[in-house]
Amino acid sequence: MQRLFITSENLKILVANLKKSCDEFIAPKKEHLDDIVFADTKNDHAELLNYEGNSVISPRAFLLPQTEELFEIKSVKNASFSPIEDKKKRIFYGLRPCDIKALTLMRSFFSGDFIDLPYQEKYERSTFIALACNRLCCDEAFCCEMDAGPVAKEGYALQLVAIAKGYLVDVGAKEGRQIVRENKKLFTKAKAADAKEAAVTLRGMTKGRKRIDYKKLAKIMKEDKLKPSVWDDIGLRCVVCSGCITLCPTCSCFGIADRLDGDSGTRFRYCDGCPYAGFTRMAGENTPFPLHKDRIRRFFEHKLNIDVERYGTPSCVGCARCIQTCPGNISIRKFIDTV
Amino acid sequence: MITKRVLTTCPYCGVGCGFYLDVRDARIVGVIPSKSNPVSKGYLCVKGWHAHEPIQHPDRLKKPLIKENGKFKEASWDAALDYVAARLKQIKNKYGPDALAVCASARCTNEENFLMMKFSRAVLGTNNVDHCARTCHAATVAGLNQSFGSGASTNSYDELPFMDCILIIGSNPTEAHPIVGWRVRTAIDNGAKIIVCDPRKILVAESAYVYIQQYPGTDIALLNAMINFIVTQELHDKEFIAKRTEGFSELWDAVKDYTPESVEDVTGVKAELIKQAAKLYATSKRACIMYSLGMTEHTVGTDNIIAMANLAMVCGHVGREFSGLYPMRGQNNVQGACDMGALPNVYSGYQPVTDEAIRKKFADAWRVNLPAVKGLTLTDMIYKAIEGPLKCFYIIGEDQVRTDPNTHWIEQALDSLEFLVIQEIFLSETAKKADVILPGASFAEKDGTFTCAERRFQRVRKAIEPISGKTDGEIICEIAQRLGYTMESDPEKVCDEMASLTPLYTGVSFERLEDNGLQWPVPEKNHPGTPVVHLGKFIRGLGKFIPVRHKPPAEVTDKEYPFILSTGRMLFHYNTGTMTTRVANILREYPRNFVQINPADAQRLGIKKQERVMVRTRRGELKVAAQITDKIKPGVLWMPFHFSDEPTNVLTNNAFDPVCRTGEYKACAAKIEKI
Repeated sequence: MQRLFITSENLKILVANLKKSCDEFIAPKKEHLDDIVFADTKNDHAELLNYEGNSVISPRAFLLPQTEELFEIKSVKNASFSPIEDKKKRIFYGLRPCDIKALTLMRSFFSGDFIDLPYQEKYERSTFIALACNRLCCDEAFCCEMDAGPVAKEGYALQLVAIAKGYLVDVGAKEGRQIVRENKKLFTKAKAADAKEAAVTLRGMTKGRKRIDYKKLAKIMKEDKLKPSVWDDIGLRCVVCSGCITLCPTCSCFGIADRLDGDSGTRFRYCDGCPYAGFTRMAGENTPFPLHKDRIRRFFEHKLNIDVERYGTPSCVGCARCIQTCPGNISIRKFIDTV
Repeated sequence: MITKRVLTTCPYCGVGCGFYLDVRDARIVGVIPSKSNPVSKGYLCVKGWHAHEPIQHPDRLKKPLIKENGKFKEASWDAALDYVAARLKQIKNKYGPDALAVCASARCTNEENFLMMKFSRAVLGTNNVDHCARTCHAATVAGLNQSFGSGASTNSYDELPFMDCILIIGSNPTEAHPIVGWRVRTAIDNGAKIIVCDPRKILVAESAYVYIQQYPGTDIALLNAMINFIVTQELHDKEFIAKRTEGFSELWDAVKDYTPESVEDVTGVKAELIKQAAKLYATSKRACIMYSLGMTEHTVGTDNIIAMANLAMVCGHVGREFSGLYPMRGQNNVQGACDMGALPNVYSGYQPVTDEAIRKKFADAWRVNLPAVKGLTLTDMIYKAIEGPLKCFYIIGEDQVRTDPNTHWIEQALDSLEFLVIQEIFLSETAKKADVILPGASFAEKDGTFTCAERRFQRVRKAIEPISGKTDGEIICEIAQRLGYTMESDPEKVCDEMASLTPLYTGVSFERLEDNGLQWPVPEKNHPGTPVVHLGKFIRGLGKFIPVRHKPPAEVTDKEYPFILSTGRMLFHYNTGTMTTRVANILREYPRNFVQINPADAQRLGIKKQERVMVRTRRGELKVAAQITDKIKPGVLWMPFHFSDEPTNVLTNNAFDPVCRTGEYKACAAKIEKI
């Protein structure tokens, strides 16, 4: 892997150049007061090249929005439809390593046994530039423990690591090599001292944080060795807000519905998942997961057990978004600690 | 593609959460919570998370409709507004201004409510303006005003997590106000002890220190018994009572016979539990009372509120930080609609219409003569429509047919009118009865402010253009124009006008609301707002103990109707369901109405799980599924009111509180039968 260096000034030029080559430049942006949100900054140039913390909602919202129109229904009577295509070229800038890992996991799901065209269409035309974390984005985050930070291992075109005088650059996928080729003058070779500085910073962040033994965790969950009181407590907390599944960067479940105005309209999909009773309810009012605690258990099982089996790694990346938005103060991190 | 995130305030309950609408081109694709918002801090409930879905639903009313021969026909804006103005004028000329009435909207912005009350008073010339606070928290305004001198929440949300004791009575924070529910949850996690008094064992009751399951309509007996025990045990705050209150001996005269043992039968609660609750509340350092419509929607609603105020004052748990009464408001801007004077007796900031100097101030500002006599409450408008004197109703953003008690009675009133104008975003049951429907705008299509239950003004910002072409404020102003009176419709200027005429909100302006909003009172231009009211001194001077006594509900059980039927809100739906039934996964959670019944009652009647049963009262009948649950007290039935095609309010009782005129939704006599 090549390791390069770019100054802050040159990074600005690089961003300006990249904006010319895409339809949308999705980057972190400051909204009201301290809120950071991913936004298209191609034209307003409000992107934050370096920032602390993470965005409220994961960048997944640009590949799998909360609600997304899939195709237009011209006429139900005549069974006439027309596709809604999204062929925009997007460059994502400043993604945190946890979100990079999440996007890779989500891609495995949507491009696995079944190819999800609306997702694939957008993903294939997207380029991801990661920004490694120099410090934890919030007290609740546990990316290091989940093997998803402070640097991304794969899934990016470029990864920037901030140091005092600029950024170290890891070049990842082939889009990364192409970006470097086209902007050769902006990069220099990284010096050993710079690499050392970055390593010290990153070590500082991971200090005292041990990667969890997720295989052991999965085994405990699989064998149902938990005290029932753990689940009972969760059951008293969940208020089915759906915030966890909406903010989770790896939740990929969706429901489908039609919005018809007479004979025409659209078919759309919407974020759906574990917390809802209706998500698994069958005909005759049969619900395999009748209680809140069963449904959150399903959510945790999926992240920490089933996906370990499926992908070899948990699909919780420790971003803590679900913890920070839960009105029941449910914490998957505390849960892991308890187990 | 244009992508933008527009920060705004949630349009559902009265908590006032902040989120961004995620707009891509002209479509709103999602909701992003705002972590910087002082109310919601990045948390939302299931309704808030889906607040974008109904906005661009194909069922939205897009064009004005005029009824011809019983059928609605699309009309141009000009034609519809000309017609409405002409009919209003004609009725006013024929019968006088008090033959007309305006129902303002707790769903609209403060600025629009200010325009509605101005329209009613300055343009139509009548004080007949009211809104749905009449069916929810009018008792709070009436009750707390008498006890403390101000009819709103005394303290702020952020004090809740640090309470030692929270007494929750007639309120279900988890379901009805989930982000306040989050603070209650946090308080429990911080070690607070919770007392829940509710005929249903709601979720928070599972974590309560004391759970009291009283019969609906027996709250005064319960609260007076708590006061009785506290005083008998010398647990009351004598210093507070002596320095800051008046009327304690009159109160004691009224409560001295209410021993916990004496109310066991009427409340259905063991004396021991009442004593435990009373002791815990009285001896906790930081204690507050949270309540909602379970207290207000009774024929004794105002007295219920006074009983709570008495309890708080007896223990000195009001008028300082980490104490007080939290009336949880049900609608996004029901606090604001009251504050803006969309009430028959007051202008904005609760300034009485009967006060000559105040009336002159408004008359001078608006350059018109203003009516001096109080107008009709929403309740009395219904009576007057049936009796005949009220001929015309202009209703904005409310579905009376589905929300008011005893549907048949409401329908009779609306059918008696000569002219009915409805301004709505969806074709509600009330709208179907209109002569003209004017398509209004949702919260995402306008600028303005909402005021939440902690008295905080917050900005509402436009994300997309109005689907019908006009905001509600613009519609009102255009009708006013046609009636020969010019009103400014620009929300920021309306806000400035409101602030200039209202001492309570003098310091409110869009500019000052930009960051975190402002909590009223804001009596000066640079005043920082008021998180805790009555600090050191009650607004009325001394807090007043007003003796209140238990009175049974207007309709009590008997051999024929042996159950007490109570109604309420559930987590997944909002009011008449016009918005929430248009959200895919929310509708899927609870698509239909149901009745909750205790297993013992169900077994006795041979009713099985999910079986369709007939619920009957003296006013109507309804077939619904039975939900058998031990969470409800034996002898009590409970139904939600969200389902327009299975409407619970055909059953409820149109008996009203004599002071605040709120209906008794929470207790009537019913029977349940197998079909």
